[in-house]
Amino acid sequence: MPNASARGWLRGNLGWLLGAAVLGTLAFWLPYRDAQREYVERREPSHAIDAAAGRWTRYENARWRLIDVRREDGLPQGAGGYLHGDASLLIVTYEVVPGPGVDSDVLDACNGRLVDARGRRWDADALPSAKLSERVRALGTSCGSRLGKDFVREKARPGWPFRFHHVFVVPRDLPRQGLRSELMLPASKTTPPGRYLRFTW
Amino acid sequence: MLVAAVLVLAAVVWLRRAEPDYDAKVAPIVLPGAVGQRVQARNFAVEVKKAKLAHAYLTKAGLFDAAPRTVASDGIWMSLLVEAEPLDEPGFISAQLRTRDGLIYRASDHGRPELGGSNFNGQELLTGLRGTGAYFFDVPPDRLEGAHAQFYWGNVTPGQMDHLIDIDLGLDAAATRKLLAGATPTLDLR
Repeated sequence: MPNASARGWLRGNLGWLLGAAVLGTLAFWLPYRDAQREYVERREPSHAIDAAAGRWTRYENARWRLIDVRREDGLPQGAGGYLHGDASLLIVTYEVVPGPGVDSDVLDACNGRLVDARGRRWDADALPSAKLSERVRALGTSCGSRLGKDFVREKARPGWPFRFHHVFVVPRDLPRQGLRSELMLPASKTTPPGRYLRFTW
Repeated sequence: MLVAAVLVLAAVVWLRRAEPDYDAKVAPIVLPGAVGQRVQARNFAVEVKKAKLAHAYLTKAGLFDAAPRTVASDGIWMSLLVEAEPLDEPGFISAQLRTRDGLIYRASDHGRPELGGSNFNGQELLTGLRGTGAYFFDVPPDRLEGAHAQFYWGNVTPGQMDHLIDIDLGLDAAATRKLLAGATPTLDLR
């Protein structure tokens, strides 16, 4: 009666077999899920929301606008942290009005970058020079908070405009035409993932 | 029919044997160059200006040092004065020395010697801002002859299927002897 004995064996080991099936499935599914999450988190910003300078644009339950772009020439040769050719400082000023329930910590996770007509990219506030860093810190470069007097952190509040700056060290001969600045929250935190703001000047 | 089948089988075997292995398929794409020549890779450009040897470097005193710091080599220090520029995005350009027999010596860390932004290994460079700096290699003197300097994007290892700039330093036997003869006992970098 091999069938009867096989059925008996199956009944006797049903728990083990089900457990092995569940664990086996998890062994494949969990690493796959982690890899997928990591991929989303690492993904480059992919969905641009175009914003005209000076006009409010909605992005992730907050309103944002670019209010000023200032260029300062005559930086010292080592402004980028190493000996290089002539450079300028580009200071881009934004305002954000957080929507209800938007925490300043969430806004602080935002990054900025500058892209020129050729697609070249500069990251905001990459300032290895100690003197520049001090100055930029005083300006306030986080999207949701800044260090105020007596080292008290001032935070953006829902419904109130909050001003911040992004600073870029760029070659002095960089043409202004075709430049655009971008703001992005972590790609995995936006809906859909990878949405970002693209300001044309 | 049988002959045709044997020929096809032989061709399959031969093609399989001739196929490059995985490492060769994903190996970096080498861009050759020479000293004094600007070589442009996918997203960065490098020009080696000069190679120099020294047995030790003298650098500024650190925060807890009483006197200037002497950075001695285990072999001999080779410094390569370069101009380097990221072309598309900010990032790191790393260097290594490849000896004639294929040994690789990575450039010394950013803090050895400690020169701030002038030691380009581990120094983030900004897009479009061509910088002047140096890479430093601690190498056995007998490995210098025939060595090439190689440059790649990032600060880990040469990227698979990415560009690797390979600069022939022109170190034949005579040039190497001359370079070694001119090695400074202690080069002051303060």
